[in-house]
Amino acid sequence: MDVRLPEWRNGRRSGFKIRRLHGRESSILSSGTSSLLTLAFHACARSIGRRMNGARMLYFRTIFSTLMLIFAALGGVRAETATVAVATNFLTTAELLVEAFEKESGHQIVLVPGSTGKLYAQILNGAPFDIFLAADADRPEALEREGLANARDLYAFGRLVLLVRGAREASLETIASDRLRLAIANPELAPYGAAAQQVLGAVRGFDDWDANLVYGEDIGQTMSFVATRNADAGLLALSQMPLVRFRSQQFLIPEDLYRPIRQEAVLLDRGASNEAARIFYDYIRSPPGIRLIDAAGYGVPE
Amino acid sequence: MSDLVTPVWLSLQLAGVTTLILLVIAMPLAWWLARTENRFRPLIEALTALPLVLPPTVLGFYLLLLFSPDSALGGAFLRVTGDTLAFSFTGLVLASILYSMPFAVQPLQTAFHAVGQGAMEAAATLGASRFDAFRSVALPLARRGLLTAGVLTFAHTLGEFGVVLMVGGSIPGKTRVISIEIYSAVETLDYQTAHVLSGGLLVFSFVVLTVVYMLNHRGVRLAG
Repeated sequence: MDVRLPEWRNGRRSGFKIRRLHGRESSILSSGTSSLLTLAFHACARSIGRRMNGARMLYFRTIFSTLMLIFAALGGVRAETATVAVATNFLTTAELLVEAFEKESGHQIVLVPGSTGKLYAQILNGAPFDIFLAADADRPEALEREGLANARDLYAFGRLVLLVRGAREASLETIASDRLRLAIANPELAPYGAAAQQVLGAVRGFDDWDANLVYGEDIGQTMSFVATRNADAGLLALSQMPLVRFRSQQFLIPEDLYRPIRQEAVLLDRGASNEAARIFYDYIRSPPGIRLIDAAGYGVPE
Repeated sequence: MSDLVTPVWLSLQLAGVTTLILLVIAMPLAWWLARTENRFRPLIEALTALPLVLPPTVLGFYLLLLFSPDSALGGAFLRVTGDTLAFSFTGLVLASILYSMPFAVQPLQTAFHAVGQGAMEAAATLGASRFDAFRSVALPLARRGLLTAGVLTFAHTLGEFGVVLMVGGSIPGKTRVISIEIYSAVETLDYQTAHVLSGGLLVFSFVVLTVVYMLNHRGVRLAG
């Protein structure tokens, strides 16, 4: 079995050795299974061979060798599947990462999107996630304190954008003065919502936002409120902007108006024994991974 | 623990308003359904029963599009009131009316059906107008159906979740109803709030259903 160390592997973990071991085991296993099956086939063929004409025999053989090939293929590839809980702001970027990763590694990643707060609560209640891509550092730190984190690393800095529908100038002052409906993510659950609140608090001469605000369950629902024009504007993630298909203005919120959105990843204890999870966790912070995250509109760690 | 009075009061208001409006709409509709020979009846019956079968997300999605200022309804509402239908109490009432429709129509339809043609014809021979006959003969005979419809509609609206989650926007005092409050409480690990509200809803629903069954049972005994 050909084992090649991908360029982005930093070799810190021992996945490489384990993989090679698995490879050898599996080929022994599959060749063992094949020979057993071949024996069984010959035994069967002998007992019924007298009643079998040539054409039938050929047919039987063809079916049998096809089955053998499938068995061998199944034995040879040891693809694993990892489940990754991802904060909604990062979903489209994570999908790009997964696509590239699956092509390269043969492993499979299942993404479960949600607000950071919701996914955190689910993890505490035993949700079967291997990796958690949060939109803040608080929840990952809390998971570490709870003893549920195997590793914790910064993977991106979130950037907040004001998206205003139509041709209006995209500024918070416009929203305040025109009494526009502004959608933000639930600040208790979504770090982008919390950041949005800090930004609103910084708008001078206007502190009564309550009548303007509607809350999306996560940043994805917040976007859908704007997309369906039920809200005039939204404070959203820069990474969501490629999803915009309607006429609108964007304004990148100056980063000194909100605390940095430090997005941390956690390799959960459950994922530490999953090869796909370990390799994907490293891939996120590998040069190709970082390039993807950077291109999607995030700040990336130095 | 977060403020519990606001969501509870909001849910009660929503359920109350929805029940009143829905009974007014459902009564003529159920009356018509119970008596008509129109060949389109199955169509209308299926339409009213749809919310029983459809996931709330389907209803929520279409309502979100319908409430948008881009749609005729949403646009008209915005021009008249200056407010969008989504994220408003009015919007939730509208959503609840659709969502709880079968719970009002079906018990009423069954009850009206049971009144039968004979009683109405008897009233007509005594000189009662059609409305008079409906009011003083059919309605009293169908009172248990009316009660069931009212109680079920109220309780069902009180427990509404999926549709509100999609079109509500979780605004305290306006669209943040009990079920949304529970959902948020669970997600923010505020289990105390979740316990109080969930327990309350559980007990309330149980009591309501018990009362309905008791009344129905007594009604049957009295009638028999």
